[in-house]
Amino acid sequence: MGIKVDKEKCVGCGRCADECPGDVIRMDRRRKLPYNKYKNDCWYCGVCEQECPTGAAKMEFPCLIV
Amino acid sequence: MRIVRKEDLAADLLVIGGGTAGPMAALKAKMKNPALDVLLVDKATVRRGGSICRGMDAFNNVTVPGVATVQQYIDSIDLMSDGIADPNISKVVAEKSFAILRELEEWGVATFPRDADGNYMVQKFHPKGAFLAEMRGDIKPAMAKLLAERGVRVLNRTMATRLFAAGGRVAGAALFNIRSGVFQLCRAKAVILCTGGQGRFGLPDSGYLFGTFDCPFNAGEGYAMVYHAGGELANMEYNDVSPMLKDYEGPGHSTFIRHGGYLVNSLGERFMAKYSPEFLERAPSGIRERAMRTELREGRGPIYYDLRHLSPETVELIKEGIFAAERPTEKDFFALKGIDIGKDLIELTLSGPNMCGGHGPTGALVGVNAETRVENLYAAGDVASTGWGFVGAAWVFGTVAAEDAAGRMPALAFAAPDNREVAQELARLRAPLGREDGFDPEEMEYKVRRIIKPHLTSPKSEARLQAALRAVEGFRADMDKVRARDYHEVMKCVEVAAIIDTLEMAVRASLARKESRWGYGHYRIEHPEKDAAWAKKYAVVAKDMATGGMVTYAKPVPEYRG
Repeated sequence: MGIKVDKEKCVGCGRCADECPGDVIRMDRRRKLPYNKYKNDCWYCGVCEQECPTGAAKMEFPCLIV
Repeated sequence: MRIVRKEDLAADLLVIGGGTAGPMAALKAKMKNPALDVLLVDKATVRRGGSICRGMDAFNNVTVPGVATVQQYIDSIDLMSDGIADPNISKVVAEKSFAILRELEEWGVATFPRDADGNYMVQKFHPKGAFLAEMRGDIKPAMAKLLAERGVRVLNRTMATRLFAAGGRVAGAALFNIRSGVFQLCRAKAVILCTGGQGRFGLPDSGYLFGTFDCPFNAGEGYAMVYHAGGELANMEYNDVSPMLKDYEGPGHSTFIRHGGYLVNSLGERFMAKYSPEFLERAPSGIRERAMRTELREGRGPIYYDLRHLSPETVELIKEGIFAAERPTEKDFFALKGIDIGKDLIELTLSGPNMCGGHGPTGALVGVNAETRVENLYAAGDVASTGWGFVGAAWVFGTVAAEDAAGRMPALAFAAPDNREVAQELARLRAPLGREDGFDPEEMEYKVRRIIKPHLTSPKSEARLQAALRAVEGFRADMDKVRARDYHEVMKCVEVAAIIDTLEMAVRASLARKESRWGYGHYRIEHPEKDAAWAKKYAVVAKDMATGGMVTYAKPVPEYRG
């Protein structure tokens, strides 16, 4: 279902949202946190995890897969 | 929210798609002629877009001198395609792939592990010859960096939605930014289309629309663009079906098999021995599909990968390749399901059908320089019919397209797109945003994709294919009722329209090829045998530019020129 974010570790850089190939992730500008805007478009490729510089992003499998 | 048209863009060379073939094409064009103005667009990003967004564990296919020969590669593809792939194209892939491996190594884009004797680790996956070299490295960001150094202009989150042609020459493309909603016409002297295949086709067994074997962000828009611009497409009737890890979209198959894994049924039998005693798990994909479906239908399912006989070192190499180089989330998946791949059987299902020039023969019909029938329009990668070429053909044909286009560039001029066509395209994109109510793009996508597997899976029947054709007409009418709430959903409307277009292509090509070929790749109940009249012939799909209707016809596969 996209990204799960550890709010303590997230620095709000937005790289996960910048690079998500499915355009699943967007930034909440007010809270400076990423969120799943189009969670059903996730291919669970793991780019969000890969791009996160602080280890705050964790890819979550969609309901139908788990 | 409204799509705004902004100033026109222009480039000498426009490369559409920043996955595998596209970045290579853009780079090679700049290497050949640094003065060229090269623009590369991707609806995701060049850094992470495409089928190999996270990486790839093997360079497939590469002909490493001393390991395999050019002739072996041509023979292998000829066997897999049953004669319906251009051997001249296979020759180009075989001859040029190793030089690209060395370049990737030299540039620091990828590494290629070697064995104790210092040789590249090359494994056998094809019926004849070994063409899969172990590969490591975070390829995509490394390529993106090279493109920046070479001065390639890049537009990310920019989707090409239509190609424009004038008098049989490509003139440019409609570009749509999926985040800002900006629409621009980009004029170009030459265009290289590298948009991937049709990954978002048959509904996966999991029921999850994006749980597909091939990259679901490639929804056949490239096939649709070639078609509407006047190009020819080949082998659209070929069902690309791969074994797929149950619930997880792969990768697995080529890695497990090339390292010696088995396919077994629920009785523990290595069932491929019954269907292809000579090639076993390395049998052509349609033969393998027929074997798997027969085992399932006759009650010997589930079917599994069995790696339990492999040495711990081999299992570690498989894990390193998949978990580190290609798809780390697969490690999480196996952990979630409690599967240890060296000790447990791995249950699988069947993907698709999908359409792909890498895993199969489907795509834009191209010549040995990647040229299409539309002048100055090239196609490379999964969007092109380059015969089971995987990333090897994508990189090779990205290269030959770029070198041909760059070499011819001094003599090329801009063609003038028809302004009415550009206005029509803008109106097509704006329409779903203008609707106050309607179906969601996701609902529409489900409605279309749910009919693909029942109507197109072999054995195919005339009645089912005709029914699918009637459904296509209904889907087109329904598209006028789909509402987009934002630009992301406009992108999805374009993708769903491409899924409908490619469905019609698959159905019409399946009706045209009145014979059976490639096992279950295309098996017609009414015509269960191979027909000599269809030997060495493509079933071509193209647009009748006068009537706007879809036509199909037979076209000879080129003879081998040696």
